[in-house]
Order: sequence, then structure tokens, then C-alpha cells
Amino acid sequence: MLFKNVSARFEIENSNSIDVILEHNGYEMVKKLQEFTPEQIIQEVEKSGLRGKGGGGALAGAKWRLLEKAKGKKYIVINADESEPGTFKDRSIIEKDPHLLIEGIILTAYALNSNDAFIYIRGEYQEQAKILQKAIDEAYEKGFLGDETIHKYNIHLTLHRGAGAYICGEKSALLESLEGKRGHPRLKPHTPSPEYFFNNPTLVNNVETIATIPSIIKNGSSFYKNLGVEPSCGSMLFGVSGHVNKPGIYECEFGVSMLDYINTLGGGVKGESIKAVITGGVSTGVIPFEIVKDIKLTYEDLRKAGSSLGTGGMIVMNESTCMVKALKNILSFYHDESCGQCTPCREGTFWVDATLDKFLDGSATLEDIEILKSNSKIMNGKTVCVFAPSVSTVIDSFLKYFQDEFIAKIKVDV
Amino acid sequence: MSGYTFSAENLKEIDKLLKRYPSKEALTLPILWMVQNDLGYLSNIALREASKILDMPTSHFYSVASFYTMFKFKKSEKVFVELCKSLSCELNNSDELYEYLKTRDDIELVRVECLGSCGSSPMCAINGKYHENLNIKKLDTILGDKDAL
Amino acid sequence: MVTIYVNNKPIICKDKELLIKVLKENDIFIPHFCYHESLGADGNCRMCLVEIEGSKRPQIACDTFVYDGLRVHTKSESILETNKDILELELLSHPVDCPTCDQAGECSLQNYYMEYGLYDSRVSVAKNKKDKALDLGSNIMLDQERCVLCMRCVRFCSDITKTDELVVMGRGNDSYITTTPFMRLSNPYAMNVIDLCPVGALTSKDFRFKQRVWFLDSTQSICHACSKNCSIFIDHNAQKNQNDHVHRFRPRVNTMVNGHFICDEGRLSYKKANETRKNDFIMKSRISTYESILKHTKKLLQSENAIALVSASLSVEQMLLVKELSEMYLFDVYYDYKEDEKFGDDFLKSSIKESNLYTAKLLDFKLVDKPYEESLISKSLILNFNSEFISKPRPIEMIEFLTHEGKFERSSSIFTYEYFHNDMGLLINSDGVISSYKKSSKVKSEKFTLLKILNDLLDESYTNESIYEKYKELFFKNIPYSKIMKQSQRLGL
Repeated sequence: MLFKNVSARFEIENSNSIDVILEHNGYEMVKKLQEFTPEQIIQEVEKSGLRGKGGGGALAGAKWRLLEKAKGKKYIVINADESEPGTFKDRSIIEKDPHLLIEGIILTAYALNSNDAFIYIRGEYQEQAKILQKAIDEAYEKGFLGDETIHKYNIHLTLHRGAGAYICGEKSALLESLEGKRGHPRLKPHTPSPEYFFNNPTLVNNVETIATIPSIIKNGSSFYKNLGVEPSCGSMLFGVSGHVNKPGIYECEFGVSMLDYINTLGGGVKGESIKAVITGGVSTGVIPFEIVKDIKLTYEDLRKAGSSLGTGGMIVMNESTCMVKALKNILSFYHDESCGQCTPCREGTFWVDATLDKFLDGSATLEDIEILKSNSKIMNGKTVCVFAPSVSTVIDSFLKYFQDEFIAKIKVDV
Repeated sequence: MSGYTFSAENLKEIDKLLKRYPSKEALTLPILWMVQNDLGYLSNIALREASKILDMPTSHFYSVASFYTMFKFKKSEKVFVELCKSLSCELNNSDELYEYLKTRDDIELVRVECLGSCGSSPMCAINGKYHENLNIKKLDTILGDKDAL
Repeated sequence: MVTIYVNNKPIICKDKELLIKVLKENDIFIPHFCYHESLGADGNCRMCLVEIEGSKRPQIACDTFVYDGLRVHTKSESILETNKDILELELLSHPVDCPTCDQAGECSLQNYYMEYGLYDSRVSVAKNKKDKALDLGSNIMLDQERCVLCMRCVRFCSDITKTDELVVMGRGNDSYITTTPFMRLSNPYAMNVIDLCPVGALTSKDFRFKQRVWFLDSTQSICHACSKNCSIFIDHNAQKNQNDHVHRFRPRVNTMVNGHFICDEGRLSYKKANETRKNDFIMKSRISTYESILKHTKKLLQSENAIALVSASLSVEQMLLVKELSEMYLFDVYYDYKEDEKFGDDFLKSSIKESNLYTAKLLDFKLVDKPYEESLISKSLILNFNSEFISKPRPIEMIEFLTHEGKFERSSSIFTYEYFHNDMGLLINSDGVISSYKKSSKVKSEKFTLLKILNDLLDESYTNESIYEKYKELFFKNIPYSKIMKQSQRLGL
């Protein structure tokens, strides 16, 4: 079931050292950079069917093309602000094969005619930042980065640390933060356009997305396109945590059964049985076992089940899990992390979080279920970014499948 | 009131970064990190110095810093423990660790959102360093070895 | 120009114009907190969500640009529900302390609540507490619990005054506005944040707890604190058995002069309107009657060798009648003015403190200087029209026309006349823009206007309009009076 593409070198000892990976085909494509034209690389990515692995799952090639067509000095920004509960895959790339990411960045920058790239890494990843910085320094020393590179393409790569704000994983908030501001998501453009970093057209891609590029260039787009189940092409660093015996990151082709994944790679449920699974980071909401058992890990299958693939980080909950407490945990997260810009999100996340407390301390009434539902409605589609709509997804899914547990917590007058 | 000076090494780093970013403003987070790494918190005097270097009003630094949970305006006098309270950790009994940590008065305890260790939960960061797959016994040992923290 | 349809009614407007601007200009009710004409859109409050045909989700009017055929609904059932729900969220942690809040009566939260609400509160969770009654400096009080975080005040200090005293701190619903540590609000325009604040978070220390705004009358007027002539509202009323009292000046939008703002000094100059002299007529140091002093003055004008000094803050009409008088009795008219470089800036504060210097020059009045002092020697009568620069070098007959207490109290003859806040007139500012200030229809004047006194001295019966019309071709580029009454007009420099 395992399919090691991005994670191919993860098991090698000291795989984050440049000397080690150079013995394992490290920077192979970068060394051959001049054999490709930028357009060839873009076309390979377009043809590969590669989709962004930060959660949205949009086609990477289309996003690249927007930048390619834009005028002016261009920037590449790598989103390593991995903060979605249940998600820890980018961390594994950074820790175990940072040079793969750097190689992907060089290929991307070359393809899109950019000489400046940044990696925005969440502030809490201090050890990971050190590993990454060391890898960047090594890449400079070996002539893969800098003004005079062995591949004849000048590129600078700068590591930029965040400082504790989930919302900075949202690409426009990330750019605001990179610009030195508070991480408030930006109003969305009215026509398709790339992102902007100080008015310069910019590509923002997830770590795993960019780390996939070298393998696509090396093996050709058809290699990647043939993996998985079209239109969910390729493989992904799925992760599993919560009530499982072997939590971790395991790369698979798209299309494997969720249940098989949990039982085989995740070592099976800890406890009696699977009650529910958060499908790909908490923002994708929850699905009960009855649905889990038939799900294949593709964007389309999860969409059909009313959820989404998200970051591929599954959280398994066994039969002992209190769904009210689980929802409280997630809503408290959103309350803590709302940037506070838009009223529905700023106040709504506070209200639903406080309302969940009422369920847990026994003071909730039937009206509180309505309050959760009406807040879910007002948070959906009325804000600048998709943070608040995610809260709606979560609330709706919990109430859809586990409303009984909430009703059971309601105060009964005696 | 004595002033604050950025170290020669930091000034050199600032010079380097100024060439990398399209605008000075982008150095806000890097410069805040320099101050915090140096002092353990963001002092008013240091922020004033930062405002001079980047030619930005001090208000900017306060407002920006207060947005991010990792920046501190006060120094932690004790061992700083950030206990992850996110779902995977909670499912793996982080509450138990919380109850235990609450009883210790030799630490400054905060419960933080997901630190990206769901696969090795429960966990906490002690003075910024991750400690994973924890239980009370393990935590007790780690906190007992003050020199290693 | 394009045609858009709002609630199925066509509106013709400029292509690519901001929708919220079009709605407001066409008096279509559109609730909003963060958008402000002077600050632009920020998109944070989400109050201005509208339904756009063909768009899946509601869109904010402050980030929608119009195009031909755009169809907008502001009153559909779903939009009304959305607006109401967002309003409910704005009020979630609000203390709902309208009975003790100074903003009551001019509060957007309150107005929208009346528009949408009248619902019983569903809130059964504890409110998020924040700080109250913080003195930020410059007469500004902050109540963080009433704040809707629209950021108008912060944006004003960063974008307009560029003084950056205000910041938003924290995140999420713990965000709050405050002054930057170690700073106080201390720019000369600071009090504008009170008007910009759509709710009761920022209130004026100078005004608060003094009056309920619904007891106030507002009169369209012009600030007389410098030669910029900022448009203002005078908010005033008369308490039982008392004279009319001015409670505050507020900026009145005038894109040709002051935009949306006024300076704090101008704003607080309302106090001068409450310090006018009592309604009296003095002749040779004794209380007299209007008729006696009028007769006395006419006699002196015929017999004596006169000279006149006018304040360069007199209105256009007042100056024109002084000019008529000077031509009838053949005397020279002088003016003087103060230049305060420290006061002036390149925004709204002019270093010239007289509000109508332009007209004094236009009418060819003479600047007080050496020849004035020299010519005084041969004069036997000084007429002073409210000038503060008057000197009385030797015992000499003097007739003064005053609004406030003068220097030579009781040593000369005095006509007391109505100060500008209870009068009407025209002023021309230092940029050559002519504007009108109005007289409240609700205030019963006790004092005579200077126009009336001058008419009586001239045995004429000019109105503000007729005296202006008489000279409009000669001095005022033929701009009709009625046009100026509608809005300011540019004469040019």
C-alpha cells in the first residue's frame, strides 16, 4: 500500500545532510536544469495533474500558468506554515529530506523566471527551521543556490519564520505576514490573478507540492498522472493520528481505501472500534464509521461524502470519544486562531466556543443547538477567507452525524 | 534607561535580508525574532531601536507582535511549557498531562494550539523544544533535569 | 456611465464605481461600519453584504465595482436575515448601555438595530469583557467594549494624519484598539476619530454627558478659526428660559474645502460662540439705546474726519456694506491680520487666522501699516468693525461694532452685533473658495446683525443676497448667490 515518491529517501540515515543525499540522486534534476526550458517544466507540471497539497487541491499547473503570464519581478513563496490540527506531513519532508524541497524550489523558480524564493515556516517549528536553514546553507555552499550556481540559474532562498498564527497558512494572510504585517487575509481579487508580495506577482505553494516537482521532472508527467485515480493523480503524504496504534505519515497513491489505510498503515484503531474520522485536518469535518468504511482517499470521493481530502491528515476517534468534547476542542481552536478581521468569524467563533461550554457543563438548552446552527450559517460564505466556512463545515458535520450526543447533554428540567 | 543595540552579527544579517526582500517592512518578523532570541522578550527600548532601523512607527511593531502568540512582552522567569491542546493530543490524554503540569509551580504553563505533532501525541514544547509521546513519568523526568532544558 | 439595478430600480452611475458609494449617493440604505468615504474600504465589518444576481454568495458592497447591467438586491429576505445576524454578532459582547452612552441617538449600532432588530437577545453566554473609560488624550475617551473593530480610527491615524498613535492589539475577539504604548493621542486632528467612530467607543470628553443629541439643532455653518473656512455643523439648543447655547462644532462634508474633517482647535472654537458680549449699546461709556447711538454715529460721520478698521473675518456682505459706507462718507478702510506659522500646516490649518482675508484684499481695503499710523494723526473718528488690532493712540472719538468684549470697553461707543453662529453670510477662504454659512431658523435673534446696523447707517435695506448680487459681476466672477447657497464655488486665486 505504501508508495514512496516524495518520501523515497526518508529512511536513509542522515537524509537531511547534503552529502548523504548527493549519493542518492540529490539535486539530480537541478544539475540537468539547462537541459530543460522553463516552458517544458511548466508543461510537465500541467500535464501531470499535480494538485496543491496544502488543503485546497487546486491544480498546481493552472496556478503556475497565472504566474508565468504575469508581468514584473516574480517571487516564489513556500507555505510551510503547517498548523492544521491533524497535519504533520510537511514537517516530515523538512526533517527528513529538506534538500528535495530545495531542489523543487529551484526547478519551480527556474520554470517561472523567479530569482527569489522564500520559505515561510511556522514559528513553532524551531528545530525544523534549524534543519532547513542548515540545508539551505549547504545548498549555497555546494553552488545550488546563490548568484553563481553550478546550474547557471541565479536563485536566492530565504527562510522566514512565522510566530504563532494558524491563519498565516492562508496564502494571502501568509503574504501579509511575510510583508511584516498582522496576518489578516486579503480581499480576494475579482479576476483570476496570482498572489502579490509587495505588488510583485507571486506563487504560493505548499511544501509537499513543491517537493513533488523533482520526481515529475525526472520521471515525466505521465508517470505521475498514471498514479492514483484520475483526477486525483499521484500520491500524497497521508497522515493518521488520534486513536490508532501506529500514528504517522505514510505516503500512498490516491485511491486507497481509508479503512485499509487506518488498519494497515495506521496499525488499526486503539480501542474497540472506529467511531468517526476527521478526514484531512480538522477543517474538513467529521464522518462516521458507516461512511469511513466505503471511502477511497481521493478528492472526489471525500467531496461526495460531504467532506474533503484537505491536508490528508486523518484523526481517528474510537467508540469512547465524546463528540461534544471533540467539537469543543475544535471550536476552541478556531476561537483562538480567528484573526478577528471579519465580524462573523471574530464573534461567531467566540459564541460557538462558549456555547459548547454550556453543553459540557450541563447548562445547554435546545436553543443552543439552534445557536450553533445559525452561527454556522452566518459563518458560511460571508467572510474574507475560508476560515469561517471551515468552522461551518465542522459544526454541520458534527450535528449531522452526532446530534443525539448533543441533545443528550441538554439540561432537562425536573 | 540604557539603550538597546543589535549585535554586529544581527546587523549583518539585517543587511543581508534587506537585499532579499522587496521592502524593509518585511523584516518586521525577523527583527522581532532577533530581539526575542536575544532578550527572551520584546522590550520597549528594543522595539524603539527596531523602529529606527526599519524606519517604521513603533505602533507597527506592537500591533504586529501582539497578533502572533509566540511573541512575548514580558520575560518568562520560569521554565516555559507549552502543552498542545489540539484534538489528537486530547484523544491521547493530554488532559492528564495538563492536570499534572498545573500542580507544578516551577513552570509557566500555557495550553497552545496544534504544534504539528499529532503523530507523536501527546506532546509539549519546553522552552521551545518539542517533547513527544509523553506521559506523566516521562514529563517528570524531563522537567527534573533542569540543566538539560 | 452605466445602468445598474438596485432592488429592480435602475440607477445610472459611473462605470467601475464602488457599489457602496453609489448606494449611499442614491440614498439607498446600506448598513456599514468599516467603510468610510474618506478612508475607503477595509472589508472587515461585513455589514454591507448585498445580493448580486449571478453570484453564489452575498458580496460586500464596499468591494464590489459596478458594471453595466449589474443587478443588486439589498432587501431580499436572505440579505435582511444576513444583515440582522451580523448585527447580532456585533452586539454579542456589547454592553448595551445606551442609557449611559453618549453616542445614543447617533450610533450606527442603535440605528441598525432599530432597522433590523427589535428581537429579543438570544445571548446566554458571558460577554467578553474589555476596558472602559480610557482617556486616550486630546479629549478622547475609549470604551473598548462598545468597539466594533471597524478600524476607522486606526486607519485615520495611520493614513490621514500619519501619526500612528492608535493600534489594534491582540487577535480574534480579544482584539482591541488602544494607543501605542508610551503614546497619547496628540495630533491636531485627533478629535475627528470621534466622528469617524460609528459607535460609542470613542466619545468626546468635552461633550460627553452634557446633552442628548436628539435635543440638539444642527445648523450648517463655517468654522471661523482660520482662513480655511472648514464647513461645520453647529450643534446648539436653548435650555428652558435660557439663551441659545452652542454645544459643539462637527465637520460637515465639503469636498472643495475640508473633506470630512476639521482641526481640533477649530472644533473647540465653538466656545467662543458662548462668550459673546451681552446685548448692549454703549454711548460715551454709558448704556444707551440703538436709536441714540445710530443718530450719534451718523452725526459724527458727517462732521468728523473718519478712518475705519475692519476685522478680516467679517463676511463678504458685511465688508461690502462697510465699503458702501466708506464711499458715502469718504473714509479709508484698513484691515489687519495675524499670521501664525506654528498653527498652519499643509492639510486643513491655515496660518492666516482671519477667515475672510481674501475679501478684504479683493475690495481693496488697505493693510494696516505705517501710513495707517501716520494718517491717524489727522483723523478725528475711528470706526472699528470687530478688529482686535485696534489701537487708540490718543484721545479720539471711536465707534466700535463688536461681537465680543473689546479692548476699550466703556471708553468708546459700541454697537453689539450678532456673532456668526447666529447669522448668515459668505466667506472666501485662502484658496479662493466662496462658501455660505446659514442661520438657524430655530434661534430667535436678540441682537441686531451687522448688516442691519450698516443698512440703518446707510439708510438702505440690502439683504445678504441683494448686496452680493450688486457686486457679483465686479468682484465675484458673476457667480449667482443661489449657487453659493447650494455649495461652495471656486473663484480662484
